[in-house]
Amino acid sequence: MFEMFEYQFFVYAIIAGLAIGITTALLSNFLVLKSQALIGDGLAHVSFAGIIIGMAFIDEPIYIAIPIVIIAAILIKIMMNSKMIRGDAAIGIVSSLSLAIGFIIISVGSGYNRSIEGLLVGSILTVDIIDIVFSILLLLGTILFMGLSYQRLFSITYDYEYAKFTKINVKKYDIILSIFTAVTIVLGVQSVGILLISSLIIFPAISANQIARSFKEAVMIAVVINVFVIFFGLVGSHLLNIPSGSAIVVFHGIVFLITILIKTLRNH
Amino acid sequence: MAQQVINVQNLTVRFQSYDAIKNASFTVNDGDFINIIGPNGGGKTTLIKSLIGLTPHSEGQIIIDPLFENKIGYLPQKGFNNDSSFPATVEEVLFTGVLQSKKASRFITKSDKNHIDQLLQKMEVFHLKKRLISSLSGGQQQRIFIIRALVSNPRILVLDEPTSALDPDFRKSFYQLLKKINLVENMTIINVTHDLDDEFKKGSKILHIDQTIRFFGTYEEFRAKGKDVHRHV
Repeated sequence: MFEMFEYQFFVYAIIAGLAIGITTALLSNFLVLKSQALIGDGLAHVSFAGIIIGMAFIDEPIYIAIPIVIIAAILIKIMMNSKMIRGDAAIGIVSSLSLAIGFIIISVGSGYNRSIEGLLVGSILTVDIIDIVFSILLLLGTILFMGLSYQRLFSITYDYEYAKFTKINVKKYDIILSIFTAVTIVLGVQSVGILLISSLIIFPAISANQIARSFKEAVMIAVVINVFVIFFGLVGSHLLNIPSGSAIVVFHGIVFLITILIKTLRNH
Repeated sequence: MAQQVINVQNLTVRFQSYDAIKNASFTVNDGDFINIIGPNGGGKTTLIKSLIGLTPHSEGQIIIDPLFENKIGYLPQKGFNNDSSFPATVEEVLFTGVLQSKKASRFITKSDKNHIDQLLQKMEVFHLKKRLISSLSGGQQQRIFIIRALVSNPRILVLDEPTSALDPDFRKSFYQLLKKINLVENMTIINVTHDLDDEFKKGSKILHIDQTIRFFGTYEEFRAKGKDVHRHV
């Protein structure tokens, strides 16, 4: 039953999956509670275009995709802050334009078919050592950033205007958070795919918030949930021979229902 | 003569082509209790947001005594996150108030925590420390937000309609608390209000604003001029 752990590709998948999962869980509460959960979805679409463009030029498309998605994330932030258009509309504009550009490149290029499927539903079992190195570096960077800025990020998330009043450079932190989100999404798209990456950002916070008794506890529970769901999602998908990304999201759905149940029982 | 702590000269705040505040001048002295009154949309909130640097002004100047510049506490109009699913405890919310007095350090220290505990005890809400803020009543929440405004040891306290969501009984005790802070600790208080009860305004200064400053002086002068408070709030 456990022979899967003897396969290098499976161990790589677990390591990359957990690194991405812990990173998304750490970001999760700060994005979801600021009503920016959908930024993950929008940036996943941008990642699609970025990776497609990257594939046209080099073997490791993330080198091109990461800067493209970072620029898109900052553009979305600028549009949101300038109040020219609503935040969700800003995400919609950037993501639909990116998808359109991605599909145009696919239509004029050739040999994309296999990669597109991988990008849509994920191909975590094909991650290589470069993906793992990037994912672990990202995780360490996120832990460092969160560790140093936790109180300020909490203040910005809880009460944006009060954070400004206390002289926190809210725009700077917004941009840094966007950059971390952007890089996480690009690496996540490679593992769980465009359709599912936003679930790794949204589910942990939503589930954790049902049962957490403090914000700090919510962050910790989100991490535990993502680790648990990704590990058992990958193992389950291998045993049941179902797509890994789908297994992870269905597990998340089950965990969410359990947290709702716990909350309901606690309130009675 | 009391020390002047804020000097506002010819202040204009313009949003696109609309002047929310036009050519306003007044001074605030150390220990003043100023009630800012005026109609909805008259510029009350804009005025205090300009004073604390949240809203940039278009013309004129605001001079704050350097000794007081970083010693301002603020209770916003909607001082709390209304998201009932936000899992923040009272203590975590109060930590955001501590950040104001921190320049280099990013962390909450043991002495910060002790200071918060003392304030919670003083305000008789220590038992709420670990509770989720969203689970508290409106009155309890407002008490926590006034502690947040006080946690950085301010010399000036700026409040934007602090009692608008409170029941009359709590409103009364809230104003008694403000008066005590004002008199005992000599803290300057600038309070935007819709409250009509004269009892709360005795001994205070009134700043009546409706785009321009219509009146600035003591409450007693305001009454003597025959201005009916109720018509202007």
